[in-house]
Amino acid sequence: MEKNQNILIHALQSLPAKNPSDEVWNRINNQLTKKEKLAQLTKHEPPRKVWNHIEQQLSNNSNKRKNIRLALIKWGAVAAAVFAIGYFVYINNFNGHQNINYSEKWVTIQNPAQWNNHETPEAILSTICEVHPTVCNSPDFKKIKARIEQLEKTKQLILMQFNKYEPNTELKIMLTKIELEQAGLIKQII
Amino acid sequence: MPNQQEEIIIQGCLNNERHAQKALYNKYKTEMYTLAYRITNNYEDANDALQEGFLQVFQGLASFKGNSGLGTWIHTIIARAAIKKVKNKIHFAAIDESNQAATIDWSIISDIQYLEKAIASLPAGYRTVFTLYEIEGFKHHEIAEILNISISTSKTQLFKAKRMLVEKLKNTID
Repeated sequence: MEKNQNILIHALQSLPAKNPSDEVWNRINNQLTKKEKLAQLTKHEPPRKVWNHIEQQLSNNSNKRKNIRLALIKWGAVAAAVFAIGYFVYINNFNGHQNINYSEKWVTIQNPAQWNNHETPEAILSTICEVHPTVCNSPDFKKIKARIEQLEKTKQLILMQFNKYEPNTELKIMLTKIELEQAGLIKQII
Repeated sequence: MPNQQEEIIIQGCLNNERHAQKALYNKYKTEMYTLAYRITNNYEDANDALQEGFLQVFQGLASFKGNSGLGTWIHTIIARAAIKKVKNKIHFAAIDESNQAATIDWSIISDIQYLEKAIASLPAGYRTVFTLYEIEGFKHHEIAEILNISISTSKTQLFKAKRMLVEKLKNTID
């Protein structure tokens, strides 16, 4: 076995060496020369204006991006405001709830019966409670309601003192003040 | 893969930092301007190609994956921008003559300025393929992709360019 291996090694070593043709070196040489020659070709330097134009374009692009961002924020804010107003209007007008209309007017009282000739504050408060039950449970509402009721009782007591044949200016002023305070309190609730 | 310094420049460019963009431009401007000029053979077109090319580089840097070198990537962009400038002057005829060898004996060229003039005087199509293949080291399949031609057309153009160049160079030697 070992003998055979030695023969093989000997045979391989005695194989004739092959030399590359000159053509191979010529090609390598030509490629190297080509690199040398091409490296000598003129290098061209760009003029300064090229960078100036690039810089200007980059600034313009950056400004454009900023403007677009600002416009988006601005229009976004406007859209949000419009949406919020729209939502508010919808909630207040188109949600199927009853709306409360309230108005005041000055009336010249000819006789004492006219002092009760309008919707009582209790009736207005109960209407409010029907439309907005949550409002009725608030402590502020309860406080105002108590004050209105107290004013109404005082008003009725004053009216009982009233003599329709004898004008009593002082009582009229008191009743007017009570009416005005009641109206102000109802306005506050609404 | 970009080296560490290049990495910093790229990061700066991505953050739109002007000094980083200038640094990248300065690093490659001469190489790229030379490439643009060799393709367009015209300084004004080379200026435009360089400007358009670098703007594309800055805008597209986020998409640079780093599969090839940054220089190679920029090379391709500038080459495309320059080719756009001469596209209407280039007419490729797909004739298969690529099997014939056209070898330039570079050792006989002693006058570099004449070589330069000879290259510049080649028709736009020949000059473009010759510049991309012989000078810039692009492969035929890359040239074919950039110029939107077949690989065999690229080979043909190169063969014809070399043959014409050999003729021109022979005249100087004679």
